[in-house]
Amino acid sequence: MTKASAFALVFLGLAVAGCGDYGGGGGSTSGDFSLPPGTPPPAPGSPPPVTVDRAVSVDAFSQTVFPIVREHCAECHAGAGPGSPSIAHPNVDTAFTAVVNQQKVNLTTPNRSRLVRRLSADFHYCWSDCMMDGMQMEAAIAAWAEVLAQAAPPPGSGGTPGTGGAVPLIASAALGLGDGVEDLGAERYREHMIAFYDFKEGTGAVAHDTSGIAPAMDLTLTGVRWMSNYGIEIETGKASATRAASRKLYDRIGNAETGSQQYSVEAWVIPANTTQEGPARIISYSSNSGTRNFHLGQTLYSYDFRNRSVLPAIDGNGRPALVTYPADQDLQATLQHVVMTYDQYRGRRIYVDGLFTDDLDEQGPGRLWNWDPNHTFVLGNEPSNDRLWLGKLQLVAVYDLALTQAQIDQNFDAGVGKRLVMRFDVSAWAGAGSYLEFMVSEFDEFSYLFCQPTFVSPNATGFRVSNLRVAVNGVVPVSGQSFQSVDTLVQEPRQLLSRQCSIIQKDHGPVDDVFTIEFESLGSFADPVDPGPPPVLPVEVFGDPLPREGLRDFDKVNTTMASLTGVDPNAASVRDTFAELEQQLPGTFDLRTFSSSQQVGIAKLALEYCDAMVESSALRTAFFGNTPAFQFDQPVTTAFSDQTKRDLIIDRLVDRMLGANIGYQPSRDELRPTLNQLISELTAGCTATTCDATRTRNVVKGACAAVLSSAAVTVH
Amino acid sequence: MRRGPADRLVAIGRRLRRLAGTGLLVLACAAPATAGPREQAKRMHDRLVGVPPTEAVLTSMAARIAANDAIGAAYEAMQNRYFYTSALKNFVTPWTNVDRTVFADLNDYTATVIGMIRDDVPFNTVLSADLVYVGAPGVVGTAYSHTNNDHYRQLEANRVNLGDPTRLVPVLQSSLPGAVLAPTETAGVVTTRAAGEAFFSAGTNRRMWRFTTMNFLCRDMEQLKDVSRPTDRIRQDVSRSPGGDSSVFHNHCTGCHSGMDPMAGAYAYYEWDATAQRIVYSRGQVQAKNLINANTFPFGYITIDDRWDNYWRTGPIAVLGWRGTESGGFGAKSLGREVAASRAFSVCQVEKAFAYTCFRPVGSADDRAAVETIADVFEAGNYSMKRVLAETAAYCMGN
Repeated sequence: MTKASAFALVFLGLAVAGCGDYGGGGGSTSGDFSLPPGTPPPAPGSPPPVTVDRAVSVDAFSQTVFPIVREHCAECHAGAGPGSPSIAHPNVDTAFTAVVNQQKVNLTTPNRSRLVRRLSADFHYCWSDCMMDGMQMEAAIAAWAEVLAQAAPPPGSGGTPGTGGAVPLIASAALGLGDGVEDLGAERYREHMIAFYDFKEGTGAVAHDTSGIAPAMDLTLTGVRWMSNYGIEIETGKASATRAASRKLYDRIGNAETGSQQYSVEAWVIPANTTQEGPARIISYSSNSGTRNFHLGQTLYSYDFRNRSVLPAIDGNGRPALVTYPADQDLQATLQHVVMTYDQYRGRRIYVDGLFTDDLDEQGPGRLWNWDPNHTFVLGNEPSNDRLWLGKLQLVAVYDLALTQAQIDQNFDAGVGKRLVMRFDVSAWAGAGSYLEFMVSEFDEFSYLFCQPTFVSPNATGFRVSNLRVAVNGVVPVSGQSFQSVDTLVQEPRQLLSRQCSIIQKDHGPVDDVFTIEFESLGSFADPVDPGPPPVLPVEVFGDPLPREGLRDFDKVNTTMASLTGVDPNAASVRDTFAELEQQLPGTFDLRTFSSSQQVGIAKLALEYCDAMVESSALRTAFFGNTPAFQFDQPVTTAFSDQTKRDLIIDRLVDRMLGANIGYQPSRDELRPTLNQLISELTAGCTATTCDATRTRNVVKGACAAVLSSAAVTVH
Repeated sequence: MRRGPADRLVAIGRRLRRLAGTGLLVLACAAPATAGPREQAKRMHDRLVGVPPTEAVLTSMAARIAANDAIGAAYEAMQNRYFYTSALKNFVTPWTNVDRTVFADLNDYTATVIGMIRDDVPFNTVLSADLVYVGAPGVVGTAYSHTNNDHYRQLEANRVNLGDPTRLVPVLQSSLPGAVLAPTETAGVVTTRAAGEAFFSAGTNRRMWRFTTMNFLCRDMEQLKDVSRPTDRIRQDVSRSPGGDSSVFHNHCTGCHSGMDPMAGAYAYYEWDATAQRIVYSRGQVQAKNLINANTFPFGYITIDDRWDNYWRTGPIAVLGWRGTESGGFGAKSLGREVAASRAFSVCQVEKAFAYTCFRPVGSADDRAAVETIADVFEAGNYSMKRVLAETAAYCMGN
């Protein structure tokens, strides 16, 4: 057994131990399980897992990965922060569960771990250099795996004592992609095709034009990477034909005598993002950014179609462009089938995933006689290298014909990429001749696409098939499984179980990965998935203590002032002022959000309420009383002539607004000096003639507002 | 420009601001080392109602507290009209709009929650009841309308006492004039006009589910992420390879969509008609918004009815404590029951009340224990939200 396969088994066992759900092969430990008599052991792709005691795994985690995530990831991923899952939870068991159950590490191939890729590929909150950080994480995961490998029993020993041995599974035979039969798919429409690239070469510096129309317009690749599932990725350069070969397009389309005066450009594209513009050149027939015959470009969420014609309104750069309506966001950063057509009836049209985008060519059609025969056909850039497009191309075709809707539909339905028919033998469970058929392809760099599982059996007698999981190298990826909900009776010799596809993550890659299909029920056999113990609430992490007091928010400020002064909040003066100030007042109780502008707003509103109260004889009497009564109608020198009179105001303001005999509120004695100072400042220099009764009431309003807008009212 | 008293008192205002700048205006209120019944009563009243108590109420509440009846004191405080017209209004308003702002008008969603609390309607029906609260006939000039919010704006502008059961009254949503929803198609606040405008408008109706979890399970999607759920219910409009990188789908997209999409299926027949400004319902016919962008991933789920399934009953999100009778069903009403039957729903309502009356989120093990205890009281007490507010106010009245 290789070291890698030993790790795979350890990982499987770890996942079983940690998940108890769908992870790691399903954990088939139910007593309902029964093996068919005389059946062979599970298929080669699902070897019996070896389990390692969870405590050992947690301990290894605590000494390797855990210290790193605690130090660098805890700000968000500790449970109380915004990040999920809680891989840096202070409780090591909780963190371990989050890491393992969500498959954030790959102990077989540590550098494929999500925890590593998040740093080295996504540059996600690195703490120093992202590559170095990724390497540090990878080393920690490798160290973790090494501990588990040391703890695992030798192969064939039947598992760790006390933890059980082989876990039987209902699983198919194992297959690799090499065991599949290529499905050539539905027939594409190929008439009038004058250039065609399906990028199947996979290596080298040339992508060949396989249209069969001479001259071959082969593309030279620079700054371009081959995809493993047919296609190229434009990284820094372009894929360019020669100028001489490119003349084929002019001759067959634009030439006044030999050209069709109509054409189509078809492509399967994956834009890298929806932020590039320029337009960024996806496909272009041009010499530089200022002159062209046509292009398909990207501007954010829009496709951009330029075409040169004899129309006076169209310049030598094919402008104005036909651009898909931005708000429709027709362009998405995902695999899309794009076709642009040009004919002498409707001019330019763009189709995305088989659908016309409804964007009409306001310029209409025009002859293409003024096309420049010296332009170059290029993908991903301008020949002058100044309009780079980032993304992937999986197929490109050019036609000297404007494709019809039916022809576009035909090509869209035919799909793209290499598709394999894979037949997983389940005869051990469902009888001779039984197998599960999938259409499988490489979806992208990271995943396979498992589509339309179809059960084929000469013994279809209504037996049950349920909970299908696609396993890779003996491990069921927790993410992307779309057939777990399948639960049906097979009654037809060939029965489609689901029209859907599962996105299954790659492990080692298309050459080495081995697949099996696991079942919960198949035929007369059942292997119920053990849901494991119910999850427990993670240990809660509490932040620093928060203020125990809070602010009255805008509405409470208003109603409190109304309540304390007796002024109707619907009175015009206060209502209008409140409406004006509402957004300036506190919006929340959180003391930490308080600002000086809010205090100014509170003070303004307090002034309005105090003004309304003091100017109303009834309200001020109700508030300040009349035994004895304060002399609101006397000048300042009389009304505030001694402390006793001042206290008629001060004491009532304190008692009524702050509350009497409330331990945590300021008392009369504590407030008297402050309010006395305010009254003295407001009355300074007053004489009987200079400060009349109006000034007296204004001074009362000032004292009233000082208390009403104070923290003793607004904070509680 | 309007010249109000504030302008006339500009000189005093300037002086006040100067005083504020020197700290004289901001009078400190120091927390006492210990709080007696009067202090506890005032704090409880302030926080529950938002306004200080009168001396008479303060004295009465203090007496109750002294007699170990803090809950009774809280109920006395909640008799204040401002508890309904101001405190509860602002407690609920952020639930009713996308921005979660408190600066929004009273609406049918808010009024319904206020009425349910006032009348002790079991709050576990808030997402399923055939119920809406409206102003009694004649209380305001404009009657309830499916196409505008004028009725509730008038209730608020006129400061109608929402605590008065003769002025704010319960009616069946399905019986409102012009209603398009049958009783079985109503779902409490989910099918109110305000919720429809906020959460059914445009989009794909996933927003309704997200805000339901935020408002009633106290968790946004980030807290509900689980990449290990089956992906068969993720609709066709979700790219499986954003930017050509399916690892993004595996580690991000599926974490939310695998659980959310099967839940949001319950809303397949609802739509907000932006022209008519009302909720519409296409009985038996999936709204087009559920089927848009089908070619993004043609092999994804195609919505065919209003089936919902709770995939979070297993896996880490099962920690929410799902206890409904069925893990799947049809329509918003049964989904609302599923949510409200969960333990997380009960705890969430307590956490919201806790934050409201304690001015802070749960911040200690003691707080957490109290929340769990009050959630037990909530469930044992026929889901009385008023009782929850009283309990949390009592917990945070100081000692």
